[in-house]
Amino acid sequence: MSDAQVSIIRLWDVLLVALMGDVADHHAEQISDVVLDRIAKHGPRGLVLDLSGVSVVDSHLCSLMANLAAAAGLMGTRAFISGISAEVAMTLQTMGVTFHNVETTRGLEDALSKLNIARLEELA
Amino acid sequence: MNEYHQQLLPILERYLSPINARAFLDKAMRNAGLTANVPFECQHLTSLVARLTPSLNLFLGDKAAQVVIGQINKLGPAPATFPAVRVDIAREADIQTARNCARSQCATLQASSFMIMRVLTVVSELARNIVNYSKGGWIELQSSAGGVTITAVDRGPGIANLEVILGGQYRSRTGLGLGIIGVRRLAQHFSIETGSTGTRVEATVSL
Repeated sequence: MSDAQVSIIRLWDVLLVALMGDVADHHAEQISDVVLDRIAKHGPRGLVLDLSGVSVVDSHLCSLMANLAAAAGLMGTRAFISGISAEVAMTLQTMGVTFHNVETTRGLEDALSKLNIARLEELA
Repeated sequence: MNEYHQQLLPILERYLSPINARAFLDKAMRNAGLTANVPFECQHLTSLVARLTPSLNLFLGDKAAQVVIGQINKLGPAPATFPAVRVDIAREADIQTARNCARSQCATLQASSFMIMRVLTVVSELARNIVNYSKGGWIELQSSAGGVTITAVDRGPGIANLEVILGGQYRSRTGLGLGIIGVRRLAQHFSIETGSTGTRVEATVSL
């Protein structure tokens, strides 16, 4: 009955987590568990949490993402949050929400670029 | 002369001759399907402005037309046309319901996407607090052309240490303080009352 969906995709040695819709509390726990389990198994060097499919990002979701990113960091995986729209960015800034220990980017490809995953022409 | 004439002609006549103002307005009203008896309401105003825009652009140029349209858009509807909407909040799924409700309320107003996001985030924060920290409550949305007032009431045990939380020093394990402070910063007017019988938050986001 919830409208949330999550895709967890392994891209070489990077883990992509794309969230869509409204992430309920019990989902968030499941997502965290699965993601950390995957990190433990495969040891990706990067984790990207993409929020472009989430329409409203409130402080609750922010703390979920921040916790997950921090936990990933503890395991040696560099974490990013991508897909923050202009409206969400302005709202979070106004609310005073800050992300420690996690880098944020506008789009998925920007996060991947920072992980040195980009078009061949750009990498040369 | 109906209410649309009374409200809009004074604005139009600042920039156009009375004959042109009247002609454009009547034509736009015809195209929008607004007969003499239609009440002066926000969604009609939007449709009317859409029909007026080409004539205004043609006669005044884009820049001046935007000024005129801005003035027309400021004519809010009478408060009676925006009844308050109440959403009961008990379960997690109700948070999304409240957001959808707020979204459709905002759609009838002239609000930028940034302001709409503020409203939705306030609704989200307050609804989530009701779900997480009480057994239930409701959220009421009251919109006017000037802004949206969100009222959140719950029957929970109240917020202990409210002063500390509002002071920004509180680091909750569960995130309670962050949401409330966030709402206060997003809203132009904010008030909160809390006690052992429940909590009431009122936040107004200006558009």
